[in-house]
Amino acid sequence: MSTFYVAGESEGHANTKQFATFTIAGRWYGIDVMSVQEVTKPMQVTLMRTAPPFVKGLINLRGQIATAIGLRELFALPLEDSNEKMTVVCKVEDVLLSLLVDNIGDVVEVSDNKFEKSPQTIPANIKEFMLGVYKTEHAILSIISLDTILHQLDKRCA
Amino acid sequence: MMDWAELQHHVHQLENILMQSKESASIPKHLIGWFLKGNDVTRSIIAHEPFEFNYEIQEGATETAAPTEPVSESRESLPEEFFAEMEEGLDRVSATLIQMEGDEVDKALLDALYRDIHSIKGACQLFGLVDASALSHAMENSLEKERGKETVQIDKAHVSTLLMCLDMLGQSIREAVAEETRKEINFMITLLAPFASGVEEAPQVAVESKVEIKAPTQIHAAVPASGEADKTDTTIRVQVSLLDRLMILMGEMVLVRNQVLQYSQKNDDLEFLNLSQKLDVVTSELQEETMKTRMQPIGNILTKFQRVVRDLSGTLNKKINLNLVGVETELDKTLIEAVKDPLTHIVRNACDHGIELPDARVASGKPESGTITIKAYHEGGQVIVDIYDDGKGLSRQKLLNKAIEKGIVDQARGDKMSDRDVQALIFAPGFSTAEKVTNVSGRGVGMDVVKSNIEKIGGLVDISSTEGAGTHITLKIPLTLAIVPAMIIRSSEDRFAIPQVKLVELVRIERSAIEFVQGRPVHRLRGNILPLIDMQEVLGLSDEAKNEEAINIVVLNSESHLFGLIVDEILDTADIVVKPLARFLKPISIYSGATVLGDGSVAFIMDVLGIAQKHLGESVHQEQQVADKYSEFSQNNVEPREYVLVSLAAKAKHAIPLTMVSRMEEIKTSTIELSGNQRVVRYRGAILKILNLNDVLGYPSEKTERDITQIIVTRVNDQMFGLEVDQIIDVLSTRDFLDDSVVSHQAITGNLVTQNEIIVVIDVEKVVETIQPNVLEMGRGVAGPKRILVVEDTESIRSVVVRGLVESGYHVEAAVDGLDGLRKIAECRADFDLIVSDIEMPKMNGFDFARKVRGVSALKNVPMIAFTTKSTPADFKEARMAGFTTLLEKSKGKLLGTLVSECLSNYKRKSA
Repeated sequence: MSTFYVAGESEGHANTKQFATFTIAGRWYGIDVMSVQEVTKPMQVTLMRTAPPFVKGLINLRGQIATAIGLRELFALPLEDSNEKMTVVCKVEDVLLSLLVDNIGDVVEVSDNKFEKSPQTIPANIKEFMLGVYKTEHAILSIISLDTILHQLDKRCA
Repeated sequence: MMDWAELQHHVHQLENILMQSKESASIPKHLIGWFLKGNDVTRSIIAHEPFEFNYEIQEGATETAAPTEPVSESRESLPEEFFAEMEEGLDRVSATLIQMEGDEVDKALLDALYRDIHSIKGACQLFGLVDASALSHAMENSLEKERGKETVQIDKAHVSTLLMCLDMLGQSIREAVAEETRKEINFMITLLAPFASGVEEAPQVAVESKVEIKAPTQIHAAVPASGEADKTDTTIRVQVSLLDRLMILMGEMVLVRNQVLQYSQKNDDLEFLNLSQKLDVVTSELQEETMKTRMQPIGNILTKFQRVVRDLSGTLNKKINLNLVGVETELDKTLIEAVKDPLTHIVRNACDHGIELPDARVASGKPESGTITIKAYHEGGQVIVDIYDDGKGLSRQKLLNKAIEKGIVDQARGDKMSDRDVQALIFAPGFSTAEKVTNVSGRGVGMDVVKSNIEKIGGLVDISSTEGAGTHITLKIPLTLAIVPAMIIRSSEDRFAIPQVKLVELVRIERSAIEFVQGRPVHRLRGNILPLIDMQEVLGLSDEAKNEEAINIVVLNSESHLFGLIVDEILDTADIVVKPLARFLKPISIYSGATVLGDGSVAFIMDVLGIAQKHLGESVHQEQQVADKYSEFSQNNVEPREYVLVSLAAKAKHAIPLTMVSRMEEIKTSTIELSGNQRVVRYRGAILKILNLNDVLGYPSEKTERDITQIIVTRVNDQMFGLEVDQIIDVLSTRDFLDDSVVSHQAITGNLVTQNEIIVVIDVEKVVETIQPNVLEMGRGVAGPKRILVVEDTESIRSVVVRGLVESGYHVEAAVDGLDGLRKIAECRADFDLIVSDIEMPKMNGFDFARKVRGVSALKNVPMIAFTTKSTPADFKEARMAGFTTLLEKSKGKLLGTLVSECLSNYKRKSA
């Protein structure tokens, strides 16, 4: 399993949530830590021809097959500076996804009272994947919804 | 060898009883129970288990007169599952009863209770537990009255009586019922009667005397015989999800094993090599056993049809018997579920449309009650389910009228279609032959749904019918979905798996042999146009010009459309573990799943149906082409003959009968060695003698040194020879006339006169004789054991005979009837030294079979033994007329071994 450690931010009594964080194109994202199965170096990918560009292909995760998803393509982020060095393997509704990200961050524990809806100026293409933001001491963490990702994958592949 | 006399005696007794009721349409109930027991005993004899059986039939089993001893004996032969299931049912009933006590009861709960008791009753009846079934019947009856009401109130006395009965029921199922217990049971039945009052069918049990009832606790304390307790303990029920998980882990383990093996081969460490080989063996065994955990007997669903047929025959006022054969045949649980609905549909169809009303049957000279037979068996890694009915069959005219009315075919084409094609129309979408859609079989689904459901799981459906005589539907189902044999191909950099079931053949052609029709590539494969699809195009890759001259085509079959897929390379065959794709990838229809290859990389499994739909478009036109082609074939009654076409140093093409071809190989000329004057090559662990056909036929051959030479490997009398040719061109399927009037060489059979050219047909045996004159005279199978074909429909006899012969050192192939025998002969290229056949068999009897066998030139003189119960001089004469060498009564089965070796040595002497 992963080698995360919990970074202090804990507020004690208030309800807190833990997020696994990562960066893409210098932006800081977090997903619910409970849905993360493991974090690995990129593995050999079998290309899936005729699939949409955000489907990078299939990987063999010790006999189980995960679908590699390029978040850059899915979020419509610029592709020029692609620098995906890690993958985050998650399980949503029995579907194994391997999300390609640039760098892995810490597991962050944040309290619910630091939550806020996504600011309105965020472009629609990424906003629809976001649940909202958490204001942490150093930066603002964008929370990604895996359910939305899966829903969008269903929609866009159909 | 086994003790045949005992078995023979036993089966004879069974037969005798059966003969008595042969004339009447039905067998009395008590006989059925008796036969079931008899069957179990047969099994025990074969398994060398001790048994006891009472050949005196107990008339009127309803009198609860089943003798104590035989019942207890037969209990031992009851399947363990029965006890496990009964215990489960009893536990549930007891829990439900306790829940009910006193309270106002939910109707659903009562229904559940009723159902459980009912299924216990059913099972007890089936397995002949007379007392248990009588008691459960009374219990069921006592609840009957309450079932009609909306809210149910079952009073305490009733519940406690039921609970008491339940304990007794459990006891009577677990162990043999003693006379004392029987009295108690009867008394309990009378106790239940008052609760059932108002219900018409009161249990009719004579109470012999008032019996003191023991307290239920005391009854409960009766300890079941220790042996039986062990028996029920040997099965446990496991969550299917756990088994699935086990399968997945197993798959992962196999992959790790493969990687270890690959690594160990690169490694010099002997110890490691040794260990990895052990790992290999253990893993393979583990995989096999794990696969078995998911296997279930098909009887689990087939036996349910007894009820379906019984109910339907009531609704339809028909008399229908259902006959189940091979219920123990096992296949994967998920597949059993998947074939359930299609099978139900077929059985309902057979009842509704197939079997006629009793009057009509009698009028057409058939027995009043119709018979539906469902037969399941393993064959070639598949499970075959045959469904026969002896009903009115399919009417060509009705089918055609309907098809024309629905616009599926037009009149002109319909007239040209063969009967088989007309029958296949039943699978066309939107087709239903019943003049009226009835509520029995017309439920918005037709045979087309059956077909597509079966094909979805990689199976096949076939139908054949004789008007007036009945219909026969065959389902071919893969053993398991989890592991599929596949062909691995390469296109550009990627590897793909194509399931073998969809694969028809592999063809390698010159680029110039591709023609274009309206810009689309096609290839003329043995005279028929095969549409081609480039894998590059399927994958959406640019059609970069390839310079390779030879092109690999994988010929695929998708719902009877043939098409060729152009691939870059054909790599290997492999048994692949199918992994489903993430659900959002399903719309990308060209892939049906993925698998992990031996080196750990992932490969996609191609969805042949998806590719066809995407690239062949609306293929109605195509379908017509295929249909026309087939009808052309089948109109001509001559079986097409197949040849391998080769070019030699002469102008005409030469043909070698495909039946003589074992393999076609390309070998490096550098590997050919000289043994004396004979050129040989090491081939599959043996020495293969090479003959150059140009030399044999006396053609002037330029001895150009080629690196690679093409040889055709042929097998004559179990010896392999390599025939070297200049080039293998194609395979030809033809009905053209073989003209033997101009034969210039003894090794030439004659000339095939086709539309365009004359092809010289080579006699392979004569060719081989040129280097080894004695090859044909040599006793067959000098190299290996004698090969025997056993044709027998009764499974037990078949397995006994086969086992006996195998133990005596013969190689034995078994067939279930004459037709199957002919199939085996074709499969084995008629390579048999002796044939043993039963006479009385379904589909094709022994006489017809023998006549057909004698028509096969290679088997003209092979000894044939009729192994039969018929032994009058007339039978003997008929057997000889049909072509049997000799006849052996089944009662003298012990002599079979001696007779076989006698016949074989006679045969050898004769042909030497």
